Amino acid sequence: MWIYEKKLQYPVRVTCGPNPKLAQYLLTQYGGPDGELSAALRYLNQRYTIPTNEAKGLLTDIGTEELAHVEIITTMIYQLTKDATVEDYEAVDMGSFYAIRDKALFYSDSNGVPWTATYIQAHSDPITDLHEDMAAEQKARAVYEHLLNLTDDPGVKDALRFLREREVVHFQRFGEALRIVQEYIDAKKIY
Amino acid sequence: MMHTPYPGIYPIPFMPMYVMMARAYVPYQTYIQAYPLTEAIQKGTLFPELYQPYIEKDPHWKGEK
Repeated sequence: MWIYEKKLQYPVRVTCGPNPKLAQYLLTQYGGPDGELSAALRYLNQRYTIPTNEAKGLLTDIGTEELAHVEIITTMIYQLTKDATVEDYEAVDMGSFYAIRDKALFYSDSNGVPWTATYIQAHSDPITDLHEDMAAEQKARAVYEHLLNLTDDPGVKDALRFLREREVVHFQRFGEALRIVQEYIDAKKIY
Repeated sequence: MMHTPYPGIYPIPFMPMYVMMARAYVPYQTYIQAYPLTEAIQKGTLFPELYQPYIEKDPHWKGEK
């Protein structure tokens, strides 16, 4: 069960909008392969078969936080597009985006490739699953760094830096869960 | 008493006592100090040792600082 708090985990105020091109770049962290939706669904699905209470709790907690990150990304996209005109879309060659959806969001990457469940995996083997999770955090961190290189909007950069740092922290926590699971498996072999 | 569901494995050491080939290890964090809460939310972490910000490339110098 979840309790919803009607505020963002980290406040977002885009400095300079409308900027539909930047919104398009950010879209990969919404419905892209290493985006926040992929992360949330990956972790909230893997938690059922992972051993140890620490790892179960961690996957639930981080999976929930990734849903909060989805909200931060969508808020940025909304703020960057809400006042955009048709001409603004045409000026940056995004008429095809406007033609399909106007300003609606869709679970896709920046190139419009729709989200697919093949982005995520689950194998029940806890070593395997935790390695996938750690890899996912590194991939998301790298994409945030690419996004930071693509914009000079101070408000967007501020939120991107926060989200990137959370990937670093999550990698550490999954690494600690891996250490516990390694010790747990080794101890079972002895007793 | 601390709740220890899996006897014999706690405390998890900073790094494993016996390191094995073909295994990945992340150092196990123990509490040292915390940022003040307002600074922590701004940085994205409570812990100074986990604060590892990205140094951005300078576009005017072809990616080199």
